[in-house]
Amino acid sequence: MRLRRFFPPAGVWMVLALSAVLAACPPPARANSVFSIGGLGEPTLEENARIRALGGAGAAEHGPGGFSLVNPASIAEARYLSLEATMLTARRSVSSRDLGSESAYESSFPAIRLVVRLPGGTVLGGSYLAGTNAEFQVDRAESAGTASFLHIEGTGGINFARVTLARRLTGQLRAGVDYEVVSGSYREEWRRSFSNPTLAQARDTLEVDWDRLGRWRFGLQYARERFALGASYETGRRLPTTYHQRTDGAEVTTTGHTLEIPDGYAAGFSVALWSRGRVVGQYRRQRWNDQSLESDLVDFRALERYSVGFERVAGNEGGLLATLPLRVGATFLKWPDLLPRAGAADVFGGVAPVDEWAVSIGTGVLTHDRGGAFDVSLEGGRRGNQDELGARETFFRATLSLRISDETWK
Amino acid sequence: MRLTRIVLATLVLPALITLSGCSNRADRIVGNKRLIRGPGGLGTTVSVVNVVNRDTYVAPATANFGPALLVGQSGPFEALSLFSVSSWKLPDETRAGFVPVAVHFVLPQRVILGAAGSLSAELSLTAAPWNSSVTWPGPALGASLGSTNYNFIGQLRVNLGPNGYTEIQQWAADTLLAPGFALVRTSSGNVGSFQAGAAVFRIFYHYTGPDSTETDSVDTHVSLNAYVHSAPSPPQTGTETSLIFGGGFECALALRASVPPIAAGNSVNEVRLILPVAGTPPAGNGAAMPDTVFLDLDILRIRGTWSQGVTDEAGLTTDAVAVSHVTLAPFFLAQGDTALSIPLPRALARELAADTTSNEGILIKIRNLNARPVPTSYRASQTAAESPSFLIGSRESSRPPYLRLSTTSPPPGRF
Repeated sequence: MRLRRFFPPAGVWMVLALSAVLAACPPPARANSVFSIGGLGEPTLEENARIRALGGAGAAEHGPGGFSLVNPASIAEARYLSLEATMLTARRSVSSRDLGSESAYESSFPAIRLVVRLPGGTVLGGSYLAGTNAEFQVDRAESAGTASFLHIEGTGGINFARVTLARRLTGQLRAGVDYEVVSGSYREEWRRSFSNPTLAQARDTLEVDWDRLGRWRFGLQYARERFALGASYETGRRLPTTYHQRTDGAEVTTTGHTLEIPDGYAAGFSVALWSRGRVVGQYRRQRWNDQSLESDLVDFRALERYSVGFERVAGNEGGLLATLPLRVGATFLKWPDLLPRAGAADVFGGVAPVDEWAVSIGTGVLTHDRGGAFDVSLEGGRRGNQDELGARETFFRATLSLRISDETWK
Repeated sequence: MRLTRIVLATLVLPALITLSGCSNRADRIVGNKRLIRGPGGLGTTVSVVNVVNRDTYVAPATANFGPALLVGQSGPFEALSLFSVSSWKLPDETRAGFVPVAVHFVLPQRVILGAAGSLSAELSLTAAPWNSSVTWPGPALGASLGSTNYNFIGQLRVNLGPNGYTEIQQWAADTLLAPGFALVRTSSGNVGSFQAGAAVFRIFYHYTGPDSTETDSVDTHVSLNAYVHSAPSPPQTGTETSLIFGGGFECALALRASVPPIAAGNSVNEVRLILPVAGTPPAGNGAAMPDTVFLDLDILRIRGTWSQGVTDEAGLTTDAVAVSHVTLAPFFLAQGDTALSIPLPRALARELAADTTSNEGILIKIRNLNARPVPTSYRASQTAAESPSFLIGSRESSRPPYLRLSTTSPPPGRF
């Protein structure tokens, strides 16, 4: 049964309907880490489930549905109007040095992307993706001065709204460019309550936001029949940043800070080993450093992500397993945040890095016209360490991506 | 087959995104230790206590236009009620057999619990019109119109006598002939509380009906009413060790305490006046003060300078509108309550702290003090002379009033 029988002309409405549903959904809880309580928050892998199953190696992905958010050139061969959304559900187990262990379930919505092929062969894309995730929640007693109890809700992080243009320059060469606006903010709601009924609850809002400024990303891909190379470079951007502290009847605003989103690059490859198998790899680096944001509570190093993956392409014959693609991957991530060591009050008491590794496996289905897809990936990994940071997280993530398309835009 | 999967996924993905929003966050325990925000801590709550540095009590000298009208005398307290009529309503004198019978001044009482004895009162014309500026002892009186000995049962009625209807005809023709009316006590020892806005002049008359002589009446409602009362006796000097708060004299408290500076970004958790209760003034009938149930307070900001020697509320320059209206928790003397704890608006504390030169203190008044009794307000039992009243320790006493300000320093920032 061919999909095109059902989609045109209803496909356009289906895309719009899905967009409306997704937009109307209440914002879900974010897949936060216990290390999101300080610093910039958990770095988010913005890729779809297909690339996540390959360890996040997407720089050399190409083809009608090979969309990667790392390299703008990857959408150059898009043929239809496509909408792709990704949802991630995570289970975390946190082990602490002296507080035992606990588990948590969260979900997030790393990215959504709309791609449309324009007349003339240029492809236009728009996307919204999470850069970091700073959601957390803390409940703790406080004994400084009058005894009180604190409830803190942290939300926000760095997000990106992006416009992409890409096209195929030659038979083997593809190019793309992103312009993305750095959006988002860091927001914390502090509620301090007292056992003494005459003391009213103190409610404070802390917010860090910045001027919504943009930066560029340039991407190239060179693809032959059995291999492909891809690389992208993203420019840095200095963002004037404002700190707000609000409480009932008072607001303190501090300006003069800057958040410098650093430049960075990604480079990757894809090599076919045989007719149905290929290996992918990628290295990604963003040059965060101690000048990125002046703070006594966090220091920075370069973000680095190493990704490798293997994909067995779906076959046309055989049983169910043979007709499904199989993807496995691994990734190693160095968070840019250098957080105070366990027991320290700030970075002057020493800092420790957050390193994260994960392995992944995934599969998916593709529509006959190769425009629509449903992909899943399962990931497991670990981050942090008990000796330096006082806690270690083991996480399992399930990612679902859905791409629907309308081939009437051919 | 594939179409089914896609459609299914189209439905499942948004649903999962929505449904998986709930999470069991782990950070509540482990995250507490990772909440590292510098050596300054996470904010500290402190309380500062300042004893008032100026205090007195003041009584209003002007008329009370509230929901109650008081008439009578009890101890040093005395009150009379004033009325005026803007237009009169006369019966239809053309009706067959019309004969005026009587004219009564009728004044419903408020529900009085425990009232005893009687109240003798006289209704008189006032010699001149009165208005909102009238003060004790009220306008000069004109001719007496009638009197009554009221035993607190039913409505108070004054019969204007055989000339009543003729007088009303004259007043209707020329309202200047009746510039106002006063209901004045002629006996001692009791105070009546009556319903404001309910007094009428009722004209009874006969007329010839279809079968016999019928009786009917026409009411003329008073257009304005109020009462004035005497000043506290002995008058306050400003150096008393006790401040009278409330009571029949409607005493309000004028208090000033320094408000310490509030650092930028600090939360104000509490700003509260603590008024130590030293006892109750003696009631007119000598009764001890029973428990107070609820107390509605109006808090007005004083704008002009004042001294402790001020006795009249008019001597204070206050805002026209209360900065706060609070209902206090029940105060039970018998259960060991020792102070009135009055929360003040936190915004007011910020204002006074930001500009100490503007701090002239506040005036605290009990709302509708004499508009009793409402079953849920003020007293479990009372007599007509009683109003909720307290003796508050002054700054000259060993238990002075004080202001308590609690603030919390702001939490440290994320970065």
